[in-house]
Amino acid sequence: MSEFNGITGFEGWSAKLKSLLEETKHIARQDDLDERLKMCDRLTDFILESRPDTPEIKELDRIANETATALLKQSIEERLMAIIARTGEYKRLTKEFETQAKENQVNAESIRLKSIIQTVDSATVMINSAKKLKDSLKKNASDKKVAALIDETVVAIENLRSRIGKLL
Amino acid sequence: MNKIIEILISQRSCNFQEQCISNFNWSRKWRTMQAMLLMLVVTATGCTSLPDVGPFADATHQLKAAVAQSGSTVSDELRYTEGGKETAEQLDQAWKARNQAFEAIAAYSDSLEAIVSSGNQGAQAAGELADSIQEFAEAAGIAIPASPAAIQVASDSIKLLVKYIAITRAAKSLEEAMVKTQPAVEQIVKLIVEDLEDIDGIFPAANKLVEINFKNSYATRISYRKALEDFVQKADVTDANDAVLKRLAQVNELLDSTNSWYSEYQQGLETNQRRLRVGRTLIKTAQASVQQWVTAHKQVVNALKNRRPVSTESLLEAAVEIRYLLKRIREL
Repeated sequence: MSEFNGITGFEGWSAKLKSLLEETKHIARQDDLDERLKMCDRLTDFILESRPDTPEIKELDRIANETATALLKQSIEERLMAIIARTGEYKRLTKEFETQAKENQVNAESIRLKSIIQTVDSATVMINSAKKLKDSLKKNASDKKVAALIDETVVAIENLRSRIGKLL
Repeated sequence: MNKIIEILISQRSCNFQEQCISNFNWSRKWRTMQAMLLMLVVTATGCTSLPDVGPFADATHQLKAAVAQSGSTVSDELRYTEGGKETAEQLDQAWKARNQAFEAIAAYSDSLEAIVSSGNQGAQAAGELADSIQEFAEAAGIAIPASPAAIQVASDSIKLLVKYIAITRAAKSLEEAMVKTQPAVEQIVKLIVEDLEDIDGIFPAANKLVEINFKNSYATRISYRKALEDFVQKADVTDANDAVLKRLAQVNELLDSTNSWYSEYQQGLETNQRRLRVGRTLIKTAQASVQQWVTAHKQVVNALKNRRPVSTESLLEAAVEIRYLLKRIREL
């Protein structure tokens, strides 16, 4: 059953609006959006239900409409101000993300190229050592010399290992 | 060979030559070197794969779109209200900073993907590099002892080496970047959650203003129709004479004649409600996605620290939902 059933005449509608405005005052002091929306629905229903459409009743409708609109605009304004107040913080964080993204891109490039180049260098050392090993075998196949050159190869690989260590 | 690797690891290769040289042929020595390289790298890195940050990057882009669409949906709703243009412009101006922030976050997520991609590309490039080294060795006339098979073994060693270096460096860069950014991620999430809560309040308020304005435009007609309905409902037809019945028939005809505009009125209200439902669902989904997103960022950091796989199922679901909602809201 509608809360407007049985209301007749300007006096009746005027009294009803007065009670609605009292409730609106109370609700406007609280930040409960659902309550505010419900109040606006009741004020709008008042506009649709009130009759006859005499100038006096239309004046009541105008007050009801302005009250509902003001209540909603207050809700919007409060939230918009809160959003605007946070804007500065976003600008600071945006810079932080931009800087990190650039740094990551540089690192990505570095991973793509540097490790390969460094490995080529190290591999060259390995190959040179192997070449010496081969040459030495032509001259003298004694185990001692072979052992020394292999030792050199191992040193090269050790260097490679320490370079990997630096990369990590 | 296992024994040799053990010796190499325990004695740092110092006695390698004495123990091995007389027992192996050249091909086996190269294999030993390969095994040693592999062991050294794997021991040093302890890492064999990179986490898939693709779903995270995709979710970030979807989130960026959801944040932007949430702002513009509310701003559009404000524009529908009487005198709401100025408020809409204020919101647009403020929301620009959010859109720019999420542009930067999307670029950040892309850069994480670039690091992973570099790590994986490094592994692919290893093959090409090894081939070129082999070519270099041949061109330089370096007759590496023994067979082509031995050269192949050396090549394979380099492939493994490059692969592990690239993956390990990528994992390290990824972890450092994400650990460093985690506080900023948490701060921005806190801000956007508050913002989304606020626009989730602005949106129904603006929508209600639109509805009130719409209802007001029909107020006189609605009042008229209600009066006709009241008449029909209150009419007592039990002992009604012809005049009363005739009057009732006329009122019913008048009531029928209001049906066309009343149907438009109801459709208008339904359109307004639909816009409210879809818009609020988008904002709510964006809120939930933001939470999932920050959790996912943390999970990737932990996965990198603990070498665990990343679960991206919920992120993928959220991305699909956002795509669907964006499509729906654009159709309205």
